[in-house]
Amino acid sequence: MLDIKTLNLDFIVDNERHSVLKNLSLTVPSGATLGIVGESGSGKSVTAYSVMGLLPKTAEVSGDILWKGQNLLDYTEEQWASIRGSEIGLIFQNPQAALNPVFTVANQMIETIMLHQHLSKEQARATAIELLEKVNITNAADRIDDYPHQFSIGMCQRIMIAMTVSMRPKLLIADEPTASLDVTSQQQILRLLTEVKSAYDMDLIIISHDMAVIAEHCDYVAVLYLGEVVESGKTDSIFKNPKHAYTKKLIDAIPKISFL
Amino acid sequence: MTKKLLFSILYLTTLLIAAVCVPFFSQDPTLIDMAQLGSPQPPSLSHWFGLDDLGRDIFLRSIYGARVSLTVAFVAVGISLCIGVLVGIISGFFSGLVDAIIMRLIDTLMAIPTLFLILIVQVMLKPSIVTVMVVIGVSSWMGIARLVRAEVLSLKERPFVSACKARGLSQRRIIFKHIFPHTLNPVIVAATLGMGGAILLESVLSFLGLGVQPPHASWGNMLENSLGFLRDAPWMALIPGCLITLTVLSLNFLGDGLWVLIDPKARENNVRHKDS
Repeated sequence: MLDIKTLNLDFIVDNERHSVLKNLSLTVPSGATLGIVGESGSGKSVTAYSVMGLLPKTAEVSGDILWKGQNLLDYTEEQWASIRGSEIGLIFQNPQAALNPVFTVANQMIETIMLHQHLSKEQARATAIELLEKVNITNAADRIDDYPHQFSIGMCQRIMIAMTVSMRPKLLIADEPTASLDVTSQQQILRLLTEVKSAYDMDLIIISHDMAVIAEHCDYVAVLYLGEVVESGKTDSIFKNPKHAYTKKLIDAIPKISFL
Repeated sequence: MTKKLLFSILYLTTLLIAAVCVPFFSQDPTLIDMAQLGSPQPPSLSHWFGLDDLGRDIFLRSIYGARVSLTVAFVAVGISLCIGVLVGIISGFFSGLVDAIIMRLIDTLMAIPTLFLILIVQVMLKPSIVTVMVVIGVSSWMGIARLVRAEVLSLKERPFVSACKARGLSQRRIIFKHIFPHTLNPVIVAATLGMGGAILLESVLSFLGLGVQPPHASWGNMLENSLGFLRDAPWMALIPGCLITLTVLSLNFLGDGLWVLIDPKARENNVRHKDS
């Protein structure tokens, strides 16, 4: 349902134009998982932010971001607000920083749920606890009243996933969801994302710099290099037969276990 | 907790309790004792702080003066907090042109000497405790606005603000529910220090006859009243003078103490971790 066509993005800082995305085109086929892969500064996160309309004022965008046939770039701030969360959900890199430290998890989840569904406070709380149980927070009914700093980073990411899923988006964008996690939690979070994707019938975009993550969890992949898509297609074919030198390098960068 | 802070809290609590409770226990402080009229009496066992030239009990008048001073402090600081926080948040959050206009306006207002501005306003209006509170409040919000603006400027770049936006929360909700509580720490300190300033300003105005009007008691007009008796009855000037000094000093110590207590670096060690 998401179709990005020839997206150009520049940041204008002190009257100087810095090109960030060049003629970027991406499609997320219905029901599929797309992986966006590339090194730091290749424009992965900025792509996610432009789909959510979260770019800073210094950004200048042109091109089309088609969502259900409508160009999001023509949207007003109110129209953006109406699709944020309820149509497209975003999961952030650093989950602990993405939660407001002065409110309990319950407070923030109930606020989110009540904004998007017509539920009473008690119903919203019950829904929130149910969702936290689904993302494997043990003792969710008690833990929900804790503050974000009382959870580990992995748990915060589960909470963010639960909170984002509670808004029932059609498309979930996970912006390096495992960047700040250890290897075991990484696997658990990625598995959880794939699970909720099929349970709630969403499309999924996983942004990562780790080819191994993409290989395991994505149907399609787009390789980003200096703001350009250098290669895209089905994950299998790209891994078997990478055409671009940069893709080859990325694949070679996956650490392999070798025995001496 | 330092001794200074402990002393300030004890002193201010005592003063507050006395000021709140005094009307339940005593007669009218403006009552004139005809038998004692004419010459002030020094402190004695029956009148702890002595009597003034109209035979009024100075202890009682001091506590009624505390009522005035504390009310002025709370209400004036309340007014300046409301204006300052609102202006600061708007200025910081929207930045750009709005911010530039508001900041230049604040610069202009700050360049005007507050005392003279208040004097002029008080001369034009009919001076009373209400006008004193409003005028002090309306003329002292600029510092708080700058403080809040600086906080908001850095807060709005924090990831949780983008996360709130990504959840479709309205701008108003993000500003007032999610950003506002984070600005409270410096604001509480500034408000405590501001209360000392407000008490001092009220005393100055009443001393000049442009604040609380006699026969109502206020520390400022008690001082003014004592001017004619400085040689014969120095306690009439010393008592309200000491009270003003002690109260303002205590509020400043309290502000400094709070600052240390809520400084995030000092708190860091107490963060509880419940990892799984």
